[in-house]
Amino acid sequence: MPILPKNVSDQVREMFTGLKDPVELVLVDDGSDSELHTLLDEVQALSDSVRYRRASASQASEFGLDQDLLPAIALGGPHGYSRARFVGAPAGHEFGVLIQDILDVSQERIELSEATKRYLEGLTEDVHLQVFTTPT
Amino acid sequence: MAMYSPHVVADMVDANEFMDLTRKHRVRGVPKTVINDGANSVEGAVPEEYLLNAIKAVVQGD
Repeated sequence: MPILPKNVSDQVREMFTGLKDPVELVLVDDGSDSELHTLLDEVQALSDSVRYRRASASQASEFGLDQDLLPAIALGGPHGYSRARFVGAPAGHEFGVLIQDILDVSQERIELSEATKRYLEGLTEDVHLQVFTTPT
Repeated sequence: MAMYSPHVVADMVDANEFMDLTRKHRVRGVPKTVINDGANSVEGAVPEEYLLNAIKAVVQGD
Protein backbone atom coordinates (compact mmCIF):
# COMPACT_ATOMS: atom_id res chain seq x y z
CA MET A 1 0.00 0.00 0.00
CA PRO A 2 1.40 3.38 -0.94
CA ILE A 3 1.61 6.02 1.78
CA LEU A 4 0.40 8.84 -0.41
CA PRO A 5 -3.29 8.72 -1.29
CA LYS A 6 -3.87 8.80 -5.05
CA ASN A 7 -5.44 12.27 -5.04
CA VAL A 8 -2.39 13.67 -3.23
CA SER A 9 0.14 12.00 -5.53
CA ASP A 10 -1.83 13.23 -8.56
CA GLN A 11 -1.78 16.76 -7.20
CA VAL A 12 1.95 16.66 -6.44
CA ARG A 13 2.71 15.18 -9.87
CA GLU A 14 0.85 18.11 -11.40
CA MET A 15 2.77 20.62 -9.22
CA PHE A 16 6.06 18.98 -10.19
CA THR A 17 5.43 19.79 -13.85
CA GLY A 18 6.61 23.27 -12.82
CA LEU A 19 10.05 22.00 -11.77
CA LYS A 20 13.00 23.65 -13.48
CA ASP A 21 16.33 22.34 -12.20
CA PRO A 22 16.60 18.81 -10.77
CA VAL A 23 16.27 18.45 -7.00
CA GLU A 24 17.88 15.77 -4.91
CA LEU A 25 16.27 14.56 -1.68
CA VAL A 26 18.71 13.05 0.79
CA LEU A 27 17.40 11.14 3.78
CA VAL A 28 20.03 11.04 6.50
CA ASP A 29 19.20 8.24 8.93
CA ASP A 30 20.20 4.82 10.21
CA GLY A 31 19.11 3.10 7.00
CA SER A 32 16.33 1.03 8.56
CA ASP A 33 12.96 0.51 6.94
CA SER A 34 10.79 3.48 7.68
CA GLU A 35 7.66 5.23 6.46
CA LEU A 36 9.79 8.26 5.71
CA HIS A 37 11.96 6.24 3.33
CA THR A 38 8.85 4.91 1.59
CA LEU A 39 7.32 8.39 1.42
CA LEU A 40 10.39 9.97 -0.21
CA ASP A 41 10.66 7.06 -2.61
CA GLU A 42 7.05 7.72 -3.63
CA VAL A 43 7.74 11.45 -4.04
CA GLN A 44 10.73 10.70 -6.26
CA ALA A 45 8.53 8.60 -8.52
CA LEU A 46 6.31 11.61 -9.26
CA SER A 47 8.87 13.44 -11.39
CA ASP A 48 12.02 12.70 -13.38
CA SER A 49 13.42 15.93 -11.91
CA VAL A 50 13.33 14.60 -8.35
CA ARG A 51 15.95 12.13 -7.19
CA TYR A 52 16.12 10.45 -3.85
CA ARG A 53 18.99 8.81 -2.02
CA ARG A 54 19.96 7.90 1.50
CA ALA A 55 23.01 8.89 3.51
CA SER A 56 24.19 7.30 6.73
CA ALA A 57 24.01 8.99 10.12
CA SER A 58 27.80 9.33 10.12
CA GLN A 59 27.51 11.59 7.07
CA ALA A 60 25.16 14.04 8.86
CA SER A 61 27.80 16.75 9.18
CA GLU A 62 28.30 16.80 5.40
CA PHE A 63 24.83 18.29 5.23
CA GLY A 64 25.33 20.55 8.24
CA LEU A 65 23.02 18.29 10.25
CA ASP A 66 23.22 17.25 13.88
CA GLN A 67 23.85 13.53 14.26
CA ASP A 68 21.61 13.51 17.36
CA LEU A 69 18.66 14.93 15.43
CA LEU A 70 17.91 12.30 12.83
CA PRO A 71 16.20 11.30 10.60
CA ALA A 72 16.55 14.51 8.61
CA ILE A 73 16.04 15.47 4.98
CA ALA A 74 18.39 17.69 2.99
CA LEU A 75 17.42 19.18 -0.37
CA GLY A 76 20.05 19.49 -3.07
CA GLY A 77 19.54 22.00 -5.87
CA PRO A 78 21.51 23.78 -8.58
CA HIS A 79 23.68 25.55 -5.98
CA GLY A 80 24.36 22.68 -3.62
CA TYR A 81 22.43 21.69 -0.53
CA SER A 82 19.75 24.02 0.74
CA ARG A 83 20.09 25.52 4.20
CA ALA A 84 16.41 24.75 4.74
CA ARG A 85 16.12 21.21 6.08
CA PHE A 86 13.57 18.91 7.65
CA VAL A 87 14.32 17.30 11.00
CA GLY A 88 11.98 14.37 11.57
CA ALA A 89 9.20 13.32 9.27
CA PRO A 90 7.33 16.02 7.31
CA ALA A 91 3.87 14.67 8.07
CA GLY A 92 0.50 16.36 7.73
CA HIS A 93 0.78 20.05 6.83
CA GLU A 94 4.59 19.74 6.69
CA PHE A 95 4.35 17.43 3.69
CA GLY A 96 2.96 20.40 1.75
CA VAL A 97 5.87 22.51 3.00
CA LEU A 98 8.32 19.87 1.73
CA ILE A 99 6.71 19.91 -1.72
CA GLN A 100 6.80 23.74 -1.77
CA ASP A 101 10.46 23.70 -0.75
CA ILE A 102 11.28 21.26 -3.55
CA LEU A 103 9.64 23.70 -5.99
CA ASP A 104 11.42 26.70 -4.43
CA VAL A 105 14.83 25.02 -4.67
CA SER A 106 14.21 23.92 -8.25
CA GLN A 107 12.92 27.28 -9.42
CA GLU A 108 15.22 29.33 -7.16
CA ARG A 109 12.05 31.04 -6.02
CA ILE A 110 12.33 33.53 -3.16
CA GLU A 111 9.13 34.97 -1.72
CA LEU A 112 10.46 37.62 0.62
CA SER A 113 9.70 41.31 0.87
CA GLU A 114 12.32 43.76 -0.41
CA ALA A 115 12.87 44.96 3.17
CA THR A 116 13.66 41.42 4.34
CA LYS A 117 16.00 40.83 1.40
CA ARG A 118 17.87 44.07 2.15
CA TYR A 119 18.30 43.09 5.78
CA LEU A 120 19.50 39.59 4.91
CA GLU A 121 22.01 40.96 2.40
CA GLY A 122 23.63 42.97 5.21
CA LEU A 123 23.61 40.06 7.66
CA THR A 124 27.07 39.04 8.85
CA GLU A 125 26.16 36.81 11.82
CA ASP A 126 24.88 33.26 11.57
CA VAL A 127 21.20 32.75 12.36
CA HIS A 128 19.78 29.32 13.14
CA LEU A 129 16.00 29.00 12.97
CA GLN A 130 14.25 25.92 14.33
CA VAL A 131 10.59 25.81 13.44
CA PHE A 132 8.74 23.35 15.67
CA THR A 133 5.63 21.82 14.18
CA THR A 134 3.36 18.85 14.72
CA PRO A 135 1.61 16.73 12.10
CA THR A 136 -1.96 17.98 12.33
CA MET B 1 15.31 33.23 4.39
CA ALA B 2 17.65 30.25 4.50
CA MET B 3 17.43 30.02 0.72
CA TYR B 4 18.34 33.69 0.38
CA SER B 5 21.14 34.25 2.90
CA PRO B 6 24.22 32.06 3.38
CA HIS B 7 24.11 33.06 7.06
CA VAL B 8 20.68 31.57 7.71
CA VAL B 9 19.93 27.91 8.37
CA ALA B 10 16.34 26.80 8.94
CA ASP B 11 15.22 23.44 10.29
CA MET B 12 11.62 22.32 10.24
CA VAL B 13 11.50 20.17 13.36
CA ASP B 14 8.84 17.54 14.06
CA ALA B 15 8.09 18.46 17.69
CA ASN B 16 6.64 15.04 18.53
CA GLU B 17 9.74 13.20 17.41
CA PHE B 18 12.32 15.20 19.36
CA MET B 19 10.79 15.60 22.80
CA ASP B 20 14.04 16.60 24.53
CA LEU B 21 14.49 19.51 22.18
CA THR B 22 10.81 20.40 22.41
CA ARG B 23 11.03 20.45 26.21
CA LYS B 24 14.28 22.41 26.20
CA HIS B 25 12.68 25.18 24.16
CA ARG B 26 9.37 24.98 26.06
CA VAL B 27 7.32 24.39 22.95
CA ARG B 28 3.67 24.44 24.07
CA GLY B 29 2.02 25.49 20.84
CA VAL B 30 3.03 25.12 17.23
CA PRO B 31 4.41 26.48 15.09
CA LYS B 32 7.10 27.91 17.32
CA THR B 33 10.26 29.34 15.82
CA VAL B 34 13.35 29.25 18.02
CA ILE B 35 16.19 31.58 17.05
CA ASN B 36 19.83 30.72 17.80
CA ASP B 37 19.16 27.95 20.31
CA GLY B 38 16.74 29.97 22.40
CA ALA B 39 18.19 33.51 22.22
CA ASN B 40 14.72 34.51 21.08
CA SER B 41 11.57 32.80 19.87
CA VAL B 42 8.30 33.48 18.12
CA GLU B 43 5.05 31.62 18.64
CA GLY B 44 2.47 31.14 15.95
CA ALA B 45 2.46 31.53 12.18
CA VAL B 46 3.53 35.16 12.26
CA PRO B 47 4.01 37.59 9.39
CA GLU B 48 7.49 37.71 7.85
CA GLU B 49 8.15 41.18 9.29
CA TYR B 50 7.44 39.94 12.82
CA LEU B 51 9.95 37.11 12.47
CA LEU B 52 12.50 39.48 10.98
CA ASN B 53 12.17 41.79 14.01
CA ALA B 54 12.71 38.81 16.32
CA ILE B 55 15.90 37.99 14.40
CA LYS B 56 17.03 41.61 14.53
CA ALA B 57 16.64 41.59 18.31
CA VAL B 58 19.17 38.74 18.47
CA VAL B 59 21.74 40.04 16.02
CA GLN B 60 21.38 43.72 16.89
CA GLY B 61 24.99 43.83 18.05
CA ASP B 62 25.89 43.37 14.38
